[in-house]
Amino acid sequence: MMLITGVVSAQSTVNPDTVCYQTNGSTYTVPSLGAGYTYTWTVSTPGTLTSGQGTNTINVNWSAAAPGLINNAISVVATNASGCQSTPVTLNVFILQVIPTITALGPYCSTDPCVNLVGTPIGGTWSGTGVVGNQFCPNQASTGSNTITYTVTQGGCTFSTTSTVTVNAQPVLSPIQHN
Amino acid sequence: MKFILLILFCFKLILSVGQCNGVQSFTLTPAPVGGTYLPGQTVTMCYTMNGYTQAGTNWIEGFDLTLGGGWASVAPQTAPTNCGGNATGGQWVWKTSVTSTTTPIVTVGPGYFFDLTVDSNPGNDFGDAGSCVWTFCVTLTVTNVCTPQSLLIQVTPGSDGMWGSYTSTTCDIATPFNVFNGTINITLPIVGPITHN
Repeated sequence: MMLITGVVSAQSTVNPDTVCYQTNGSTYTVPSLGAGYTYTWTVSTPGTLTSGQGTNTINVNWSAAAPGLINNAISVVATNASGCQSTPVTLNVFILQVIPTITALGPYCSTDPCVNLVGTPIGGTWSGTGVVGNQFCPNQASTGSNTITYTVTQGGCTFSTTSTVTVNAQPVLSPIQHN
Repeated sequence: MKFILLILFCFKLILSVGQCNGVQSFTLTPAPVGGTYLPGQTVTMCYTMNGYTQAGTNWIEGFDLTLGGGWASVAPQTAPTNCGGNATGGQWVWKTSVTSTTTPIVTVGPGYFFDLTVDSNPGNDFGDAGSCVWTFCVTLTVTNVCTPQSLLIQVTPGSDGMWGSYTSTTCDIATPFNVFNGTINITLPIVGPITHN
C-alpha cells in the first residue's frame, strides 16, 4: 500500500516555485505598493484562486494539478489610481510528486536475524513495528502482519509509503514420546 | 474716433509692424516638479501682459490659449480688467470659441476675449482700447492617462484686427507666448517579485 501526503513548501521566490502534489492552500504575495493600487492575479488552470483577488496576497488551490512544470502559473499586474498598469510579473510552478517504494520482504520466522530494508529513492526514513534503524528485525516485530513505513522528504514535501511484513511464530514441538 | 487714431498711428505703423504685444509674464501654481505635472493634478496659470502698443489703432481683442493634449480641462478663474481706453464699456469674457468678422475669418479659443458690445460675441466688435496691465487666471487639470502627453500652454494675444471686426492688419502677427512645454509625468507601477509564503 502506498500513502502520499504533501506539506506546503517553505517560503520561496525561486522560479519555478515548488509546490507539493495535491496541495490546497498556497499563499502568494507581492510587496504592497501602498494605498490606491489594485492587484490583478491570474492563475493557470487547474489551479484555482480561492481568495485575495484585488489585493497583494492570494491563496491558490493546486490540489487538482498534475505533477510537472506549469509555465506562467501565476501572474500579477498592479494598477494605480490613474489606471496605469505595471508590466506583469509571473511565476512558474513545479508540482512535485515523489513516489517512494519498498522492496517487498518476508515472510520471516520470529527467530530470523535482522534484514536490511530497501526503499527508493534512497535517503528516506523507516518506521514501524520491528524496524530498528534501516533494518527489520523479526524478533522485534509482532507475530502476524507488521506495517512498515518509508518516508521521503524532498523540496519541502513529504511523501511516504507502507508495506506489510509477515512474521510467523517459531513452531514449538512437544517432547518425543515412545508410544 | 478709431479712424482718427488710425491716421495718427500711420507713422508708427511703419516702424513697428507686428510689435504690438507688451511685456508678458506668468505664474504656475503649483510650480512643476522636474518640469512636469502628475496625472489628475490641478494647476492654476496666471498670465499678465503689461502694455499694448495699439499700432494701427489695433486694440487688444483677446488672449487665446493653446493647450497640449495632456490637459483634460481648462476653467476660467479671473478675467482681465477692462482697460477702458475708449470709454465705451465692454467686458472681458471667457469664451471657448470666437470667430472674427474681419478677413481673414479665423476662429480662436478658448481664452479671454473682449466683448465691446456685450452681446456675448467678441468677434463682431473692437477690442479693449488703451495700454494697461491685463491679467487673467485659469485652472487646468491634467488628464489621467498612462502615456506621456503634451502639457503645452501657450497664450497668444490678438488684436481686434485679427479676431474682432477691425480692418487693420497692423497687428496681424499672432505670436504665441510660451508658458509651459512639459509632458505628463507618467509613473508606471512596478510590482513583484511573487513570494510563496
